[in-house]
Amino acid sequence: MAAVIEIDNLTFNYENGTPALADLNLTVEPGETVVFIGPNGAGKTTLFLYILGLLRQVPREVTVLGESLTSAQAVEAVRGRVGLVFQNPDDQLFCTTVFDDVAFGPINQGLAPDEVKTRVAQSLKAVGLSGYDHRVPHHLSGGEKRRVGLATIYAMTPEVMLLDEPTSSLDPRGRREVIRLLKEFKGTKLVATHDFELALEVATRVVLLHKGRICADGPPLEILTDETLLKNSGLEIPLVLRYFLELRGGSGEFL
Amino acid sequence: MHPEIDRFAHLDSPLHRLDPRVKIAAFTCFLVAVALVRGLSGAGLALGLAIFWLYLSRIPLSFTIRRLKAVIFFLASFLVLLPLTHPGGWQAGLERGGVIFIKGLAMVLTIIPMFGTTPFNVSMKALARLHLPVRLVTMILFAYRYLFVFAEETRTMQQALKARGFKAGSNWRTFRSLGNLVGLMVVRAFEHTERIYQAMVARGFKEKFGTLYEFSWGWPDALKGAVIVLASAGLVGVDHLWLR
Ligand SMILES: Nc1ncnc2c1ncn2[C@@H]1O[C@H](COP(=O)(O)OP(=O)(O)OP(=O)(O)O)[C@@H](O)[C@H]1O
Ligand SMILES: [Mg+2]
Repeated sequence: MAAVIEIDNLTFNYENGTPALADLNLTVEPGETVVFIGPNGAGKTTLFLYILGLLRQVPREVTVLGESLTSAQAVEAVRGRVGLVFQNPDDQLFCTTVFDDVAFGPINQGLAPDEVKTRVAQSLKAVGLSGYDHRVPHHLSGGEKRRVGLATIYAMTPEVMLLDEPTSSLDPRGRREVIRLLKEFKGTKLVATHDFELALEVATRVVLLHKGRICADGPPLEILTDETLLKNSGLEIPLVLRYFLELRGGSGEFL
Repeated sequence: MHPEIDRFAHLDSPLHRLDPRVKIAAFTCFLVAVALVRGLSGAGLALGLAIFWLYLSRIPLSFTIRRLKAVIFFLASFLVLLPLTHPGGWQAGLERGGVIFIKGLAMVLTIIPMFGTTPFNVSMKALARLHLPVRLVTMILFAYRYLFVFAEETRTMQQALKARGFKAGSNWRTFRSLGNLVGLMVVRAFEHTERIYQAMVARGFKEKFGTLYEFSWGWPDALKGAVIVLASAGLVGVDHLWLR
């Protein structure tokens, strides 16, 4: 089967000259959950925006679901099949009611009104927010906003999801909930995060970004426990995970 | 504070039930009529009608009054300035200022039931159906969304300032800090709006207005529209007769 996402030698600088991504090569196979880690400013958000052609360029280095994105039409066609959940839910939600926000994508996909309504109801149910239809999105709590953000993407039934720090600023229960929802989504996932636990729990593969470059790419445990590698990229193993590893005698078989 | 004009769009009233296209077209007609009024009595009548629309809409008075404060402040400047500067003397100036004040008030009071009794995105779709260019409607939608963003940014920045012990005074430092602040706020609001636009595009937005709202109109709509249009015509007529 063809790769879900293929990136061929991508280098990207912002208009003001800030280098954001450099010599990036990546292939994501169907069904993978690739977690991107890396310090602030590593380029995780930039990569996701770039893949969907949101940085004012035709992302010609990118091939998504077998379509190479060399024209504006190709990019538009692919947007319906790849969902992006933004880092900050306040960017994601812009309508005056939750219903309108969740319905926005399906309507753009040209679905019939009844189908749109069903999709909205299903997605809100999936994230545990049935009955929130008429609430005002920017008055919700952080956790609720996150979940509405997820629902807006679920409603479009994408084949691939790009999730930018889906668990940041959530309390433990909110985090659990989001991780559970991620696991339920069966398609291919790309997740950017600083949350090692999330990475250990959902990743089939971890990619370490630093200064716009890929420094490491491999099995989650191998990368997330490699002290020197992480230190050289400006990251460190969280205390809890470190204790756990020590208890287990340094490495290996604890999952 | 949230500048959401459609907060009470879920209520039920004769105006809420009016077809949005008819509502916008008829009230636009009324707004034009108010603009045409020249005399004090005509302006008074316009204000009376505007208050009547507001009453019909069942939008709470407290909401309207909060929204009116800034407007009254702005309009009152005419009341002060015109008597001082009018070539026909202070009395003529006062009358002129009074007419502008009352007309302005009447217009704002009309806009609240006009856009406050329909969910905002449905109003936008109605504008598109009334053959306003899609680009223009997109711009209005963005200006509206931008208001929220701006209000939010203002609030967080104010809090950040206060948290660090900032007190406004009439000195150079205050002036400079506030200048910087406004600049930064514009930039932040702009970037935020940019990201919102990205989020819209990411979900397949192509400058077309989708909403599930199905427009339909029948006799009641035609009748209500006719009442508003007749009131507009009456207003212009009365103003004309009175002036002679
Ligand atoms: N709109 C922009 N204009 C200019 N430079 C930008 C812009 N957005 C991001 N950058 C820069 O690009 C680089 C990569 O930023 P990016 O937001 O992709 O990092 P990130 O890995 O998502 O970080 P974080 O973990 O903090 O979210 C940074 O150096 C950042 O300063
Ligand atoms: Mg980021």
